[in-house]
Amino acid sequence: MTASLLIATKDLRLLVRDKMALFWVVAFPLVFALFFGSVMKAGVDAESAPVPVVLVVESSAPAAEGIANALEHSGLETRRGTRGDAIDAVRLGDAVAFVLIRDDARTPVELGIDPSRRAQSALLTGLIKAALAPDAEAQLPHIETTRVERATTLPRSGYEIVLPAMLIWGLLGCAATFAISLVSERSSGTLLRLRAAPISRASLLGGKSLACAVACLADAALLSLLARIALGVRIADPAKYAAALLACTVCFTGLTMLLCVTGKTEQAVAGAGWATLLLFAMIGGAMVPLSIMPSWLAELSDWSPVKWGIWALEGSTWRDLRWHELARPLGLLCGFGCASFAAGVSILIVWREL
Amino acid sequence: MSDERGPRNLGSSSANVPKMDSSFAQADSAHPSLLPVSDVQLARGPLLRATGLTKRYGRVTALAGVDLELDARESLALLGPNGAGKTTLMQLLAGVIQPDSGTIAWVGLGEPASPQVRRELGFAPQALALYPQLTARENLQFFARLHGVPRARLEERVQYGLALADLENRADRRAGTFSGGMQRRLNLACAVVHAPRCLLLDEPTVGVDPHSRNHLLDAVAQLRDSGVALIYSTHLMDEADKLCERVAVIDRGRLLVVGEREALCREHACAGLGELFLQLTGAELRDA
Repeated sequence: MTASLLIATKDLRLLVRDKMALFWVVAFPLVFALFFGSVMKAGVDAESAPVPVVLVVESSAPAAEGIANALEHSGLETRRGTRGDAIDAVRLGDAVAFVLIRDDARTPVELGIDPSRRAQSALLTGLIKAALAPDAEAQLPHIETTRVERATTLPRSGYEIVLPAMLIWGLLGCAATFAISLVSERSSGTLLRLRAAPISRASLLGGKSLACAVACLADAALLSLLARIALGVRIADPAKYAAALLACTVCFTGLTMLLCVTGKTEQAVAGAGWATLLLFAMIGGAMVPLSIMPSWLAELSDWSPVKWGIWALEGSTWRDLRWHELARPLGLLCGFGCASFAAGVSILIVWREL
Repeated sequence: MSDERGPRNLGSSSANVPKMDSSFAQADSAHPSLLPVSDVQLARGPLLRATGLTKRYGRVTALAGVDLELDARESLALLGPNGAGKTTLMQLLAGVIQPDSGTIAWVGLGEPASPQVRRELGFAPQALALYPQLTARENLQFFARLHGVPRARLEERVQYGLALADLENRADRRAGTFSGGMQRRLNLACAVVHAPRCLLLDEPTVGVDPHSRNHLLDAVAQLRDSGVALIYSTHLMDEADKLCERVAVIDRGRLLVVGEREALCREHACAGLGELFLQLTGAELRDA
């Protein structure tokens, strides 16, 4: 443990003295947040943003399908699902409302909507009525309205939207820096000296990982503090936020171990490492928001830990996810980190004779 | 072999090299390697036995069945042209890499990878194994602590290392700002800062100016004279001549000869080590 602490302290000292590394770890994420945060101000008004409607067809009558088709061709963004899915989608803010069509002569339609969305409610009611009775002379059936309170709050500013991406960029910087530093130890000969020292392989790898984890946490804490003080970003639930940061730290510390075996020289690891991280960032929503991605790219983003990192951080800042809803991204982040760590360490030991 | 170990005058800067006794003299039961040399190495006896060492990198055989022995307080020069297998052998002895076959035993201590052996070994790799963003003092402190030097003795050992490298006035400057010679001196100091019983030095004077080289050789001679066993890899004959009583010549992964320097020269009818070296390894260029 002492050896691990010694190595970690030394690595953190090296990081603090490396101006280029500090730029990627602290300065770049801040510049990113300042730029995109100010650009996104205009997009914060979610009332004007297009949000899909979930259609729930519980009736097998041809008329029900006709109503559903009419709504689908009315210009709304629709998708189909069960009533449970639909309520969850509205509650989490993924859908503005749901429309349920059932076999009930008196109230054949149920409209589930967040009461705060008055404008969308009026629009939807009009569209439903038009779908139910295309003939203006026909008698309109009753539409049952269900209140679905939205669990998520909306971000107050563009900075709250970009905060998770900013933190992820900081973590990506840490992962790249430490991956390169491990190869740098090899090329400079200091790794030979470490391996000749009376310390175990576990202490050596533990020290390296500890340094990376501490740097990730310290970087995230510093950036969060700056975002809170300078940009007025609020964190809805500090405990969930801490859990999200911890899971991200596990993920990117593990990823560091995998990245450091992508090449034998610093240049090779820097190239391959940043290419991998940029790909993860690109498909994971750290460059382009997931909401404007085409569906095939959005599906691909499930393979990027960046997506789950952003999802977990958003969930603990302004989305206000419940613990069981956070469990999936947190679990995926930790799982990805552990798998990457195991793969990286195995390659280091077997192929690189660590 | 002679047991007489009088100090040798190797150069004008020998006065700058600190006496080993000052730092080794205090016994520390918590750290065996800090025992006085006279206590742990009263007499010569076998310290290292390596037999049948073979190491391959893919299709290249770096070492092929090398046998080597070293006594306590003995100094052995490992001579060989570039690519002969010197560095591979040094790394095997230091426990940094594992042999494909063969055994290495540090007598009374264990195998090279064991913590006991590593605490007693000082290894200076051929590359400048330093952290350029750390100061000279921080480099020494880090490697001393890593080798188990207790906090109570840390400052003393670091001061010893700084004096050995003649860097006392630049202790708080970053190693990356040092000249090549200064870095080489610090490289050696980092290898001895924990007071090892045996030193493995892999071409420690590569690329340094004559003054720094002289200082390095003086420092190594002082260490040897204080009783530290030495394996010194080089292809510079004068360094082997000055520092080591025994010589091993290695080429293409095979140990060609090993024995006392003068006896080997007599046996092969050579005027000196240079002639012996060329006779054993051939005079053709080794560019491949």
